Amino acid sequence: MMKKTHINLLWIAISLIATVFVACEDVIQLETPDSEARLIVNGTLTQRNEVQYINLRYSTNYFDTIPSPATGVKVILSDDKGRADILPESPVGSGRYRIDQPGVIGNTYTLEFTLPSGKVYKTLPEKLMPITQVEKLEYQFQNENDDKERSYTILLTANEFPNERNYYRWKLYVNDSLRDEPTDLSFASDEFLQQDRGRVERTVIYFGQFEIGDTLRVEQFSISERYFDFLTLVQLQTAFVGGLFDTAPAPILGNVVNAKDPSDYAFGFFNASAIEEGTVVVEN
Amino acid sequence: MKFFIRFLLLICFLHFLGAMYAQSNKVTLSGYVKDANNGEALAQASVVIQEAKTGAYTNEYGFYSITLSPGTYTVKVSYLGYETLSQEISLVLSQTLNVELGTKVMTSEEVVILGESENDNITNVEMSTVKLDISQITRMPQLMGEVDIIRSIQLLPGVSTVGEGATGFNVRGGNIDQNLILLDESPVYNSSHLLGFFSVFNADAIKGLKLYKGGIPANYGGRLSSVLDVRQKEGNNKNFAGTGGIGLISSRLTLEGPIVKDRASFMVAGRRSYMDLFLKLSSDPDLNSNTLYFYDLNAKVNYKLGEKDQIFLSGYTGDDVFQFQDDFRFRWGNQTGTLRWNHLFNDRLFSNFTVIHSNYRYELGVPDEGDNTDPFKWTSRIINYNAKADLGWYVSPKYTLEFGVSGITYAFKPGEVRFLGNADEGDVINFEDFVIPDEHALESGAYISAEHKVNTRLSLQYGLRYSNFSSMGKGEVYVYDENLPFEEKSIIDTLYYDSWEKIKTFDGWEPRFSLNYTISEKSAIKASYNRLYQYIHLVSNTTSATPLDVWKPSGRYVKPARVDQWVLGYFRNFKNNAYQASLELYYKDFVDLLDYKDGADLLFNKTIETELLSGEGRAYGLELMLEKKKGDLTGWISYTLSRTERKIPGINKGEYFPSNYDKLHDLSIVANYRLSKKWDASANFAYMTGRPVTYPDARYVYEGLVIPNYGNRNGSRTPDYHRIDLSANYQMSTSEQKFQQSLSFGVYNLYGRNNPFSIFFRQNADRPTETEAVQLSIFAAPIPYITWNFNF
Repeated sequence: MMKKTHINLLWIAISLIATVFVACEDVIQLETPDSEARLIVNGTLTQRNEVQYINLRYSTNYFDTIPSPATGVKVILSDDKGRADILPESPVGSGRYRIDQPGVIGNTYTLEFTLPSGKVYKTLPEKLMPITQVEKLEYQFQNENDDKERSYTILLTANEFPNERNYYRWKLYVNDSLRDEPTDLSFASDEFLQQDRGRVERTVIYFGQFEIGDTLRVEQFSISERYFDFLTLVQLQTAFVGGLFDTAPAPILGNVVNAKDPSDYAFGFFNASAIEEGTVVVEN
Repeated sequence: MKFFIRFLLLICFLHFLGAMYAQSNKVTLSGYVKDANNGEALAQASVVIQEAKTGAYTNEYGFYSITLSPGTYTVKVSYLGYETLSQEISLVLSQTLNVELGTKVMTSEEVVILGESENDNITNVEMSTVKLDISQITRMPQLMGEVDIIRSIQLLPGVSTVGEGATGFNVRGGNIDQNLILLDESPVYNSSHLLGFFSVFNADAIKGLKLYKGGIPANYGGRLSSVLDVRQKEGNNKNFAGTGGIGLISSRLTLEGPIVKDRASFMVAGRRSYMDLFLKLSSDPDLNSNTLYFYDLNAKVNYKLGEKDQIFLSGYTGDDVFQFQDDFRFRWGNQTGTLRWNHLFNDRLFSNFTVIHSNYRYELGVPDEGDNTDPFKWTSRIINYNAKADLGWYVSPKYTLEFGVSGITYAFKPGEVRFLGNADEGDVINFEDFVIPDEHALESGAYISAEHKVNTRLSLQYGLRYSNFSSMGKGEVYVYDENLPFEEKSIIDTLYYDSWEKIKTFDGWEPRFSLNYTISEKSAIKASYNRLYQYIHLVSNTTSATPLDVWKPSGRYVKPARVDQWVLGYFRNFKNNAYQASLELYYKDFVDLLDYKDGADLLFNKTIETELLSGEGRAYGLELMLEKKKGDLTGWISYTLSRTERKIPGINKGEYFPSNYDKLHDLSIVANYRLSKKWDASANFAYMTGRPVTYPDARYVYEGLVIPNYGNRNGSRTPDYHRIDLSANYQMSTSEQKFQQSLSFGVYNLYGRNNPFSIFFRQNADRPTETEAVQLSIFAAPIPYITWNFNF
């Protein structure tokens, strides 16, 4: 939690210094290199008793906006307890594959994709880790800018599993609409927490602009270390760009790899997570 | 320790030898060359014995020594920008001749020859070096009027930057951490203020600077690509004097004067920016509640103990302070201190003993104020102690020996985080304090170097440096399971080391060689070779280095880097040395350069070694320089054609790819024109090829985020860079007045070109499924300035 907060603050500080000078951003036209279409995997398996989906598409060149769905893929979801389900495409032609049975906390899951071309991709194993409850959500007013937009931080109080390394992710829904801009990514490890305390109180998990009356709902996910690393890279390359101190751009390796050729991998990630949630309404 | 005792014995022996040699039938003329107006030592002044067709240059401390047969000679002492002094001298016994150069005629016997320029650049064995005069730099157009030596040297051939506003500079394909930046011999780890916009050197406190890009002499070591040797003023030992000014960014004042006339003097200089005062004028609460400033303090005293001894004590401290409302604080700066003792063992054996302390540190954190959550303070430091001895033995006019030893201790404290608040008073402390373990190291070196004039055409400089580096305790080192991936989870053991206990030792021999073949008084061919080792590395994978970047010493998992550089050059002067031209070709071969895994996480990382890669590099190029030294119009044109590439297993399939600062063409024109006694005008023009950047070759949507895929590191380039700056300087006072005032004004980036600093890719703010390429420009408008300067 803290590590990310630092980077965020540093980011703000540096941007501010840049604005003192005559920095300027121009949208420009340029040609990017071509690439072959690659499989993109979007999928989260949770313990929630509801229908869940794995979304498969193909990548495009950078400035092409319409990706095509990956249809006709044979998708097998298996766990370490002997389950092996073939996921049906639903509806056919959508590239969306339905999971009818929720995940079980403690089980380890893998997905296997056989493309119509015959290429086979497999995910690295994902263990569905337990999650603690959101005990309390609070918000704290920060400031109001010239456009009357009010900034707040969201503070979390929750128990935590002591004396082991855990990773968390939070998704924020404002009036049931997911905040999904790059700067909305929020995740953390408990590496720097007081370990034997097993608890965090009023620690910052979000910084954003809300209006009075907004309902803030936060989903808290247990995530794997591999997924944490993936999200870190995604954040570095989508949210923390455009400054003097951008990290060198680099390809992001998810957890979907060609079964025969480890240097060939698919984009995206398949993660297994347990979810708990909490809600707070912004009041005056 | 043994090493030093042996060295002391050697000195005693040399002392003895020098005395022996002095009894032969030769005599020695020696002394110091100084500025007549303020008593500052003049380094690299030329002392020529006309009849004997021989001579010498003064060393860094203004000392020279020439040994020859007794006789009557004409001694000619000259220094660029000063009047040449010619004096007849009858040498029967060894004699001291201290010379002060200036506008003043010293005695009636002397004849002053005005305006004769020199051909040092032809006769000197040095190549790939540049000396810049502060007065030359102050006349050049400057960003916001802040005289900036780092930005100025970027207009020289072979010197570039990754982008304006970026910290540091790149020399001949070297990373910014490969420059040894010395302020009065003390290393400076971060040469920038405001994250790279200005340099830490207050020009008023600086006497001069010299940049070595190649043929680096054996007395320097520890960095691969360059040495930037910056010397502070010693302090006027004739009169009390002051210099200062008020500019847009900062105000400055330097005072200097004699403590005991001709014996002891001081200099103290201060500079502070006041950008935060402008921020306060803003109506935007996001801006006006912030603090942002930097300051520098330089001080130096020197004391002449006698004819043979002089001591100098100098120091520097500077900081950048940034506070973002009450939420966030950030502060970083350098401190250095140097104590130096110059001693003449005899008239041919000069020595310089130096003790140096330097400290670089930063602090950042969230203060425990108001309703801040999880307040903390994070500090990081690098502490150096350095002791060295350098000796120059002027054996004969044809042969000079330099030798010395040096030892540096390093203490790296990469990060310590303390959480603030008091649990007993009910404050919640979620986090545990933690410390990234300190690292310690000892770097020692010894060198010997000879300058040998074989005949009137051929002169050589050859030397050898031995360097030794030990990473030491107190510290801890992780042991990784060799059969598992190199990552934190594979740690199977931690080794603990006591203070001074060696963890890993490296050493290396570093040959240095330079050759000058003087074809005529107007032209020469030069060649050089040098090998250098670098034992400490700046770990940074951002476009521009930040003050937070950590330095990593070589050790169990990090090898020292090495470079071999070959240079060939042709030097030619025209029109009675008014024009000096040079052409240099260089090739550099790097081994064991550090790089980073894709997406490496370098902050707060106890196992930073697992994020590092190492590989090789090469840089080659051609540098052309034409400089006009005389007349109303002065300046230079410089052009560099170069390539800089790296080959790192694990990046771009292990093939060569361009470094971040690879620029094929780099052209600079610097001109100053003296219009009248009161007015002069200057212009800079800079053009360079865009720098390598990585463009995405694909995009994919993941959970609503459009993610670019960067397949080919540094596979594309930003558009080209170019700009023009103009300035004019107006002398408000007549030369008789004691209090001199002048105005400098100008404009940076005259035609307001939006030069690219970087190109990045993002989702369109209004249509998030669409993606766009954005060019970031830093100084994207004409930036005018006016500065009022004074001196008395």
